Amino acid sequence: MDGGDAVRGIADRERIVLSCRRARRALEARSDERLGLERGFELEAHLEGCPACRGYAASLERLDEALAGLSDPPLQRLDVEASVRAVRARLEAEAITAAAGPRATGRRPLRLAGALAAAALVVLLGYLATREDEGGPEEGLVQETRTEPEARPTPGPREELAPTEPREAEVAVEGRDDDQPSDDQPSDDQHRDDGTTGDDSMEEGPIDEDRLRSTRDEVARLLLEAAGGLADDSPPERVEAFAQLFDLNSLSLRRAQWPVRRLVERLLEAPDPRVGRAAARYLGLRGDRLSRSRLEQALERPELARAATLALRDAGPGGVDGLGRALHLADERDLALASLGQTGGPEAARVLAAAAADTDLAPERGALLATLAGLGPAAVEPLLELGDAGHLATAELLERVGSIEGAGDRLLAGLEQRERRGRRELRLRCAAELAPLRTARWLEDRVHERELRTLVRRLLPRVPGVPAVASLLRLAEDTRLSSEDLVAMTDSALEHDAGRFAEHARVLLQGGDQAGTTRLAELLVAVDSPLRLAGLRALLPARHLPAPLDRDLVALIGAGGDAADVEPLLERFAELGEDERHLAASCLVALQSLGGQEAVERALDGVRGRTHSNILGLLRRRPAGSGTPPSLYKLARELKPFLSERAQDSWRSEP
Amino acid sequence: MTRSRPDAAHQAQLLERARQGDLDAFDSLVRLHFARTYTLLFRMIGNHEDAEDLAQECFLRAHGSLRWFRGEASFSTWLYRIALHLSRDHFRKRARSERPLLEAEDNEPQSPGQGPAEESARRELALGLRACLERLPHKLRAALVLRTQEGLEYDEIAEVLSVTPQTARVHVMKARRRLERWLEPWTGGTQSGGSQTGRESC
Repeated sequence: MDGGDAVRGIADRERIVLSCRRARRALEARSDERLGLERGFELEAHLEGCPACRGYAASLERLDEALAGLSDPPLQRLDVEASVRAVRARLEAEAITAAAGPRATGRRPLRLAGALAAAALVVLLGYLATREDEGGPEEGLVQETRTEPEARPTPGPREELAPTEPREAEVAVEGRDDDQPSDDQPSDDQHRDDGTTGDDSMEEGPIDEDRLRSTRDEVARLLLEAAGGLADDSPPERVEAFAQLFDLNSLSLRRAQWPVRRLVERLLEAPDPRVGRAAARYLGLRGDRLSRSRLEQALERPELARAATLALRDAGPGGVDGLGRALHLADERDLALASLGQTGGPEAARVLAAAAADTDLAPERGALLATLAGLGPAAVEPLLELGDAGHLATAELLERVGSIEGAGDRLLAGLEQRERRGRRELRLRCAAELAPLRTARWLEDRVHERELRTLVRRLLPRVPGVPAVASLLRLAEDTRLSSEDLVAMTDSALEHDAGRFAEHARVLLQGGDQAGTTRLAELLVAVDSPLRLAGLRALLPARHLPAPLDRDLVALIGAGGDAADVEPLLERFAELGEDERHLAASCLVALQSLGGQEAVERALDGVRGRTHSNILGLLRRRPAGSGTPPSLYKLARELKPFLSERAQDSWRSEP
Repeated sequence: MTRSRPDAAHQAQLLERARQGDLDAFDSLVRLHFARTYTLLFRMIGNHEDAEDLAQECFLRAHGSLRWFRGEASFSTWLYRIALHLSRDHFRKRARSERPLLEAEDNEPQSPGQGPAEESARRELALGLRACLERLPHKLRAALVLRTQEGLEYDEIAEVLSVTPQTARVHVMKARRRLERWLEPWTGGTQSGGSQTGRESC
């Protein structure tokens, strides 16, 4: 027997034995390279005779091929050394911060802008150190900011390294551009900061301070030339035209591989404020993350604060963090606020929410919240966060969230995510106000979920309006819910808003929903609360309730009602037939309780003689409202001939 | 990890020095492990910029927690754990901010020698697969990526995910089954089935 025969032999034998289930497991093991030889034979044998499993095998193969064909990480774009330096810069910045004061609670997440800012600090220190080695600071258009060594509270490990650290390595971190360059704007990535060539491919030699200075002057001149007539209130088209003109005029510098954007950033510190302002406006449109970080620093300088704020506005979503900083500047606050409102989106919402939680901005809280709410659905989650963190009272939160169109949908969508219990409860409370029907259904559907049932039992009764009542009625059919839980929820719902039970009863009666009416009556009779009266009254006109339930309903109205209930009870009494003697007795007891003998006389109008005396005697025997079963039985017996007569009259009076 | 492993003794020395505050030693550790950490994050996230940012964040966190690293797992396993935590947080944040997915579209490699229709189908399948990977629960996605793309053994995956090897295997199996099911519109809709319910069987 050769190998093929052996396989076929196994195949014949195993075709019967190997089930599809096992075959598919084997296929998965094969995909995972865990399938042994013998099992492989079994599988092949099975596949030979099973088209479905063959299909599954093909599908798995395609999946494996697709997984293998997923794009590889673009390692060619990865600059490990730049990342090493960025991490290092951040660690050093943190070390300096930690040494300067008590560490903030909890690590703040890395923001690239922050990392770049820290890197920029390192660059500046290194740059100055290098220039000091070269003979002192530069005299030129840009006045470099010097950080005095003694300004640092404690020397960090970096200080020992700074003088000897390769300069181009540092500037490369700073010059890293995270934005994709556009076609018409050469990338600054290829450049070192400040025109430092440091690269064999560069035509010019190593750094030449004179050339650098003259280039900066040229950039400053071009900026001023392009910015002629540009004002704070210039329309966006004018600002864009300025940037385009500067791009065009500086083309020759770019072609010579000067890092124009980095040079413009340095011009933020130019002594001529016109240059600084023009630089800021240009960076607002054409800057990258590092530029925006520089713009944020420029906010601290009064002569540049307005231009920097405008530039951060022009920067769109990337500028919102800077606008958040501008909110702390009294003169720029209105502009920053309007700009954040104009920019919109989740990032602006995050910044506005953070500002609203900032005690320094407490006087502006109203305006901040109004702007935040004006952002629409993007503001829902940040507002919820403010409420959850205790910065916003629930009523105010509801007011703010309620003013946002589509907020209910957003809140409900968020219910599907995992979140802290308190926050979920707040979300549900807001959602209940804005989308009560869907919130009630969401809660209702989860009444048995272990993690949620306590929350559901507490919140469902508080959902406003009739949706909560409708949910309770549906839950009344659910045999898994104990009657104690149901009664407790109904009691809570009555306490929250009893009027909606009457409202829902009327809706059910109008709609002819007999089952719903009966369930509502059962629920209200079962719960021991004086607040149920409105609902019971609304149910009085129901004509289809089971007799014991009907009697209980009338008796409860008699026990808790007032003179206003007399007429409805008389009306009900007048319609009773001979077979409703016990209900008639309940009605009379209730009438005696609520309207005294006069009400009873009106009910018994036309009945005289012995029946009349007996009925009155029975009613007088007991204090009002305490009709016990024996007395009701006796009353019912006495009422028999009267009701028969009434029923006949009723029949006769019909056309 | 079975793949190119930095010299253990040298790495232990670097770790010890980094623990004592030697940033140069930590730089060396970053150099040794950055590309692999980035690669894992890219495969989890599918976006170069975010993966690079998160890889940096991963090392910052690792540095902040060095004193808690007792060496019970290898340093790279520990980094993988941190990276996976970060990628999970990243997805949660992205879900909140509703940023568009599939940013890796432009990275899909061209396949030479394929006609336009085949190329288009292949790209669609790749995009579909990315979309389906996004839908997978994080732990399943992590297990699948570690197995099929990082090539880890199950005991290594188990160590990274802090589960048993059997659980790691089940995670990978579940991920495969779900992907196979979800990818039917792209793979041609065979009547196959990862699960047995509602599927044709022989």
